[in-house]
Amino acid sequence: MRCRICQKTLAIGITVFWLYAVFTSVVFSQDLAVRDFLSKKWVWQGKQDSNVCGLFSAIRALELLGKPANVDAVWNAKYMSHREGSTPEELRQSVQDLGGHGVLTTGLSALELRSLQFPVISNVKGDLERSVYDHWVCVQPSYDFVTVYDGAANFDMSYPEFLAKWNGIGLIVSEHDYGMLCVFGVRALGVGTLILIASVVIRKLGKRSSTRDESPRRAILNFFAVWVVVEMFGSWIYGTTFLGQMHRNATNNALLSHVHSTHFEGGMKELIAAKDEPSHLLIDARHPHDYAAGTIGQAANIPVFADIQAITQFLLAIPKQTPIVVFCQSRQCSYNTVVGNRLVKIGFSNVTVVSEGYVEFMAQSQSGDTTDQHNLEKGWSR
Amino acid sequence: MKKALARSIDFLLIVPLFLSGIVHMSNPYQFANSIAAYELVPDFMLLWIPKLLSSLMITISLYFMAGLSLQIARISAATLFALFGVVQLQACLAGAQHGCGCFGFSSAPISGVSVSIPIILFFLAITSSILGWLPLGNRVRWGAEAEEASHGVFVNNQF
Repeated sequence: MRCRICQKTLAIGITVFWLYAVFTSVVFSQDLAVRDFLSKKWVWQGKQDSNVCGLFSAIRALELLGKPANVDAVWNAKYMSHREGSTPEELRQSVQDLGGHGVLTTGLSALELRSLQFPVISNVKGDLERSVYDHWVCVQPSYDFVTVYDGAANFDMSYPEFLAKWNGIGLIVSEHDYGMLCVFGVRALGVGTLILIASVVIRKLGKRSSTRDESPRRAILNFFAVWVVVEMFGSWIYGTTFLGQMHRNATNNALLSHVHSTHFEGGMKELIAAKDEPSHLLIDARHPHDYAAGTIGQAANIPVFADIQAITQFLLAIPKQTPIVVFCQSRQCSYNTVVGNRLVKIGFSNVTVVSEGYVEFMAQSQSGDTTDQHNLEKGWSR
Repeated sequence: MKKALARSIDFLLIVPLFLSGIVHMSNPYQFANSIAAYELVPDFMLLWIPKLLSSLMITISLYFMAGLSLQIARISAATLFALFGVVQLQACLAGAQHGCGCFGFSSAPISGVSVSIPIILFFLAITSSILGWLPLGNRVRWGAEAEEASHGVFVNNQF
């Protein structure tokens, strides 16, 4: 009788868990209210020169340890043998030569980062659109988040978001040569805890199944129970998820490189329509100095060098179904296609890339063939 | 002899299952990236599959370690390896160039070697399962009953 009650309770518990998990995954996302984002002041940062990112990260890691390093000391071809940048071994050598200790490891997890508290030079995706890990950043872990030092910039990031960009390869920088020992210790602790919890559950279930009357149904139920326990405690130990579900934004970031762009093609007609229609968002994909010299109507500027994360932040308040029209300088310019692809990857579903650009629009407007000459003059005066 | 052979295979299967499970569980986002490259599952399932597969791999390996419900663990392992093998084989035949996502080393591209590993492991799991079945003929035994049988204690005077 007691066993039957336990079995039913377990079955109900598992069902409720999965129903909750499926429910949260379906209704998790909600669009934020539309704000008047065009009035925002936004300064787009240019990308860092990425082939010295590893050496910058090495210097920054040593600074975090209280060992300021001279940049000239590592400005050497032996630490950067490839045009793309430094190899992990070259980075380790540069850290050693600057007076620190570097331990190169693979398969690092949030658990190890959180426990070690040493600066880690991490191999990450330079751009979320790419599927290769081609960039080095210095990371200072703390319990709740990681502080990422990318060139001159530094910002905080949650563990799931960082994991979505990282391939688990890291150079642990410490003052003394005990980094590897710490990594193995923490790794063994994590795996050991998981095995311990799971073995307690298996043992409990195994005691009941040692009786002769164990049915296939009960054995399968027990198996599922252990599976759920492993899943929940594993996620908790590795700090990868919340209540058994993967972080949705982090998953989206991890999968951006696989999203196929499906923007619409348009021309002058769509450009003029977007300028006149307040519900449409007109995007100028040129560089900020070109935009400052003049644009079309009330267009917002998203320059071609803006990466997906920056664009996501910029358009955070805009609903994903908003009609967006992207233009560039002229027909020969392809920045609009690049920005349009990024907008689609972020999740905007109605993006039109127009072939005609600022030059064609101005030429047409000078010939007096636009629908709103007043707005155009306003644009010239900018 | 059969029991010793089946248990040896079980212990052999623990290594790839546990190693792969731990690596994927520690960074499910990277695993999601590898799975997405195959273009076989819809996006919303990618929130779940990496975690479910990694915890399933660990669970099976823990069952092998504990020696509990071995037939369930063996069949689950065989199903899992068959799934990995088939998915990789179709990607390989389609000429895919992306990483295989096996054992956490997602940068290793799909190749004949990466396809053959899950297929070999599948046959090992199936062999172990058949060996676990043999002493009791066609009757499937679960949990302790199968365990007793594999220890040579024949129950219910069937043999």
